[in-house]
Amino acid sequence: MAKRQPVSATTIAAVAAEFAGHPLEAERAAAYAAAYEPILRAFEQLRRLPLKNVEPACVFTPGEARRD
Amino acid sequence: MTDLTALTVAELGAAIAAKTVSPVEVTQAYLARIARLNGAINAFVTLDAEGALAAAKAAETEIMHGQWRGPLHGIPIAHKDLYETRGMRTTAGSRVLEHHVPDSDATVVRRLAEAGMVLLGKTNTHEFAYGPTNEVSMFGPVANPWDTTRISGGSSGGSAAAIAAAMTPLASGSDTGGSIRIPAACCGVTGLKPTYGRVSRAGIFPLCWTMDHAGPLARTARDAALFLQAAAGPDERDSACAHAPVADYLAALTGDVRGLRIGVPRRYFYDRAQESVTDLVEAALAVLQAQGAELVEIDIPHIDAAAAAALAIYLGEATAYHDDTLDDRAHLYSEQVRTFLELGDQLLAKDYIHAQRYRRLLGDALAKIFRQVDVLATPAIAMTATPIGSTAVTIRGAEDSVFSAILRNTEPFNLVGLPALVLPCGFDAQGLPAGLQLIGQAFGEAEILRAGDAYQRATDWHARRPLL
Repeated sequence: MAKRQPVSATTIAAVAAEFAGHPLEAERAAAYAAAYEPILRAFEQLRRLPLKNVEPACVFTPGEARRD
Repeated sequence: MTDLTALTVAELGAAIAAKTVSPVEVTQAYLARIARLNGAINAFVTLDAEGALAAAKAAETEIMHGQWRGPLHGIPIAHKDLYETRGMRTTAGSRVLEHHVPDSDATVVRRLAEAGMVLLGKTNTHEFAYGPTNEVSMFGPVANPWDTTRISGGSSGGSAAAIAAAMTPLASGSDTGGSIRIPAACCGVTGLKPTYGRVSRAGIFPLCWTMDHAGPLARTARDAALFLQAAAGPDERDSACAHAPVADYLAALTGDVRGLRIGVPRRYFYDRAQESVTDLVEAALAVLQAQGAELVEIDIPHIDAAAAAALAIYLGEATAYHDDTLDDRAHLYSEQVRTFLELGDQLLAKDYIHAQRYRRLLGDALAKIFRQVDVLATPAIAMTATPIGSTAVTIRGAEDSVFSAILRNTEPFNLVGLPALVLPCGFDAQGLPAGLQLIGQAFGEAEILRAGDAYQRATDWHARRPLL
């Protein structure tokens, strides 16, 4: 796996605006870039787990009628 | 004259059934206590004294005419302000829902009303249940009744503080990472997170669909069992609600724990908790051991990744739920909750999926452990209640964030959906309560309630009350 580059404020702002549809002010994006680094480090722990043959806990059930 | 607010739900129920106490007297006693104490504690955010007295009068009339509905009939209750209550404002502690008045009840609210319970009002919550301290709410923080400068824990902090201050005998909560058990531990009360799907989530504002659980806060395990008995069971309004048979939880409370095998996972759960807390938990284990339980040292593989997995799921599911509101009303959220929600925009789908895969890995590891033991026991949280406003806590000489430390021991069991019960197990040198957590197998609520009830027969921590 390629070494991850630190998240930048520009990336945060672009993802928020273009993909999530929630545009962010520049100072908020900068603060979130700093906050997101430790989160990504935490997620790296998940990526190192022995998950090769493990399916997600959420499974799709075909044909299940909505009950509301 | 008996102080009615000092009695447990089980005691009140027996007195009401025997017609020696009226539901109206009980309700009046609690309303008087709320009037005296809520200003300092901030546990209730909506009070319906008139409605409560009318419901109490109706219950009294039914009982006097031989129409007793059961052990909860005529007993007051408070619901977390995350639960929808027909005709009564439900805000989730957020300005986003400041004027929201639902036109239907959450399933749990309806079931407890059908059991004859008297609704006093709604209790404070961390905004949208997205935080474990209850410091962030449009109504302001909840104060801990044992020390009003300290957090109540959250997100069901209003419910826990209301029980601790004897402003209600029973309250509802919800638990996504520990939001029933954390405030139960901080406030010295009993809290039960049932198995995922055991109690309907319908009509409760979601935080994370796959980790949300509904359950009670109470003084005793027996009172929690009474709530569970009335609330549990299938619900077509909740697609995750289980069809597994509902056990007879009260019949399970035999006081007998002889031969019960208690798994003790010291790594992670004990070695990263304050010594004052682990000392109290070890003493609690000794009580259960003296009653005939057997302690078994165990280790849970991969447990260290639980916080990362829980974080990925919070960030993904909570942000998805709030997506449309974030579009046009982001300014109505508190700064803290808005930050969590907007950070969720950055989550990669693969990390969410890895988290969901981790849940299976952890669940399989625990299933193997439950072949050797009947229940697990851990400190409920790593510390006692921290000062309101503190963001860091020192544990065994190392500094940690309050959020990380307070969630560490509870959120693994949201990931795997297993039932967990928190019981008060003593006080530290500052007079703050600590909690013991008992975890059971899926749908094994009867087992942990039995152990909790046995422990409470041998101790009186649950009967202690703060000086207010």
